[in-house]
Amino acid sequence: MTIKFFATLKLKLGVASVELDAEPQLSVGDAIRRAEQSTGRSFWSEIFDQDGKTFPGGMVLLDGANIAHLDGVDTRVGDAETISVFPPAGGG
Amino acid sequence: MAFMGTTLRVNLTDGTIKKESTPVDLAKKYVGGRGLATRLLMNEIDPGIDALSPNNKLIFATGPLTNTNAPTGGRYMVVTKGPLTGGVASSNSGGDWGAYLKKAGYDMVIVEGKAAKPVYLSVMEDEVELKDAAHVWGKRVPETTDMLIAESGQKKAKVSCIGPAGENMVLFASIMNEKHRAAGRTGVGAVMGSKNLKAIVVHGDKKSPIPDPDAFRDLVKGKIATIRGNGITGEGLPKLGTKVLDNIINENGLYPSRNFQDVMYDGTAHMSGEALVEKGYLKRNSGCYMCPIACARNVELPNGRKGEGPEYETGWAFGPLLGFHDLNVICDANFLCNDLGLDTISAGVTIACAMEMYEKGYIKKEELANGPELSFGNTEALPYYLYQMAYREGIGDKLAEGSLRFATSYGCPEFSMTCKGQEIPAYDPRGVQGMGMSYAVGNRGADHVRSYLIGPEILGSPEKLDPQAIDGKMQWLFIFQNLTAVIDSSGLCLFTSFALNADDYADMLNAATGFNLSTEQWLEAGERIWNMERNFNLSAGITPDKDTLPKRFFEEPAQRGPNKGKVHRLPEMLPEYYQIRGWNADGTIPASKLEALGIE
Repeated sequence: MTIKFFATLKLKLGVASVELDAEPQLSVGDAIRRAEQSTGRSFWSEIFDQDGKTFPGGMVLLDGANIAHLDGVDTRVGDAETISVFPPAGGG
Repeated sequence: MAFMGTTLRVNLTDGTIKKESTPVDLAKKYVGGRGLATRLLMNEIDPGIDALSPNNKLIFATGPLTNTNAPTGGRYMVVTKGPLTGGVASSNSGGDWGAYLKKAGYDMVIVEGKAAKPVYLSVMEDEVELKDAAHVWGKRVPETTDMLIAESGQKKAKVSCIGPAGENMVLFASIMNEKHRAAGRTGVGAVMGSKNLKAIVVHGDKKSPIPDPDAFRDLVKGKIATIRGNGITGEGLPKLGTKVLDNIINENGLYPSRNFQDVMYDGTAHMSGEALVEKGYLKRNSGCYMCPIACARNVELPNGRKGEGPEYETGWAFGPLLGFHDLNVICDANFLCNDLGLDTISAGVTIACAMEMYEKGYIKKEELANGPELSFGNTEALPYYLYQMAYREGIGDKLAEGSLRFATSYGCPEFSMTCKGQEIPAYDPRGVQGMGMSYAVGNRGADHVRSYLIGPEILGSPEKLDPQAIDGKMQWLFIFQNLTAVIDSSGLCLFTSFALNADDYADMLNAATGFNLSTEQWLEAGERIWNMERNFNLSAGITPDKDTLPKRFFEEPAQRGPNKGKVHRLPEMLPEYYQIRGWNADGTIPASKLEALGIE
């Protein structure tokens, strides 16, 4: 599956995405930890608070569905193809 | 208190200028800016008049926090009866102009009548006069601005003006200040053009009389720190501007393309806020008066052209909505609209409407008179028809009436993506139920900044709501509409609300005015303003059956992405919204409600 990075996270990491082997039982949180290893940069604390919830303006989408409305970072990736990771951002 | 105490009343028909006391006693009920100006408009005009007739009035209004060091304290509002919807029009702008109107000593300018020939208003503190504008009539915004600053003899003078689109009464013409800042929506520029008023030039150095300046300064320091410490206002917006939303909204499956025929756009990465940075087009960010956020984009293109923008809405309206993603074309079109004085949202959505009609055979090739094909993906069409709109040339004369009148004239209004005649912004209602309702019941037609439910529904600010849920959404809409009316009327930028809450605004308003009202009382003022605007619209003949969306959003489900299969669920929410507002089941306002809110 593909983990895509956006906004200031993409600019900081210097890459748009990383590929991970598909493992349906993997949690979204674990997938993001693996993406950190793959990029060599830690960014968990820019996305999630101490309770593992995304900061206001930040979001993690599993095939477009916000994990806040699923099981949060414990959501199983299943057969999803994409995880999209956004640090806090907004506008109008 | 933080009002200057004086309002200018300028009658263009007879050339008289009066200095009147600002009705500050009404500020407890209507705050200032949007609220107070709408109150005066209600008192002074018949809502049924022709918006482009001399009987209409055009009010430039600041709020109590304008020209203070409150964060973003520089905004003003232009309030009038609008030509696009036929209802209340009010459009907000940043930059410096609002603050400088107060520095010149005035809270508001009420413009009446119509000048026999083009004029501009010069406001140099005590010296206020109407001057001949023949030499700048026909000029674009940047040249007009430079010439009038030079004439004023004050390098720091600020100019609010119309471009050719306003002069030609394009129904979605904007009023521009500091060249790049726009009172963009609702066609306020057309009303200014109808009055033969080219510009208002302001200058001064007066301070707003705040009751306790030291206490106020300490208070706003804390608010500024909150804004700077917030992830959205402290990092996301300064670094990437509002265009950070391109990928967010696309990935969430509500990024309209090809006149809302699709809910996603595959080339978004090529024109996003990130791309603007990565391609090296973004040179720096900048901010309006007293703004700690600084979301403005200062761009230089490979062809050497420079300017401000694009922000999210413009980038979308001049790109994915039309089926292309060339950042050079998007930025150049943005610059062109700033120069001509055109609202980018209505301009883009109107061209998108025409493209769908052309592709479906409603517009014949001969009507284009050898102009570029009006086809999705044809970048050549954009600047060509923008120019034609602004000068009302060729088919542009009909496009200048906006998409609803345009499509209706061909017998196919269903292709117009509008509410009450104003074009819908860049969030597809099928992907966000609350925001869709915000469009449908909006007092100035479809717009995104009178109750920005994208905050909770997509961005999770202040808390995350499911965008497809409808339970409890109308209560959120009610609160957002009321709070936004307070923020707009205060003289601050809506973006502060990503970091600040209702109590923060109450704190600053009380410190600036000395009123000492509770947060609930300020929110009630917001509710009063909303009801007053609705009452104006009802009196103007905008019946509640106009509280709806184009039928595309009910009959054509989203075809892909996370919202695949979804339509908008307005019929399930509208009765609840009326109920929460305390209105009759038919959407009219009971006299008891107006009385309870103290609306005469």
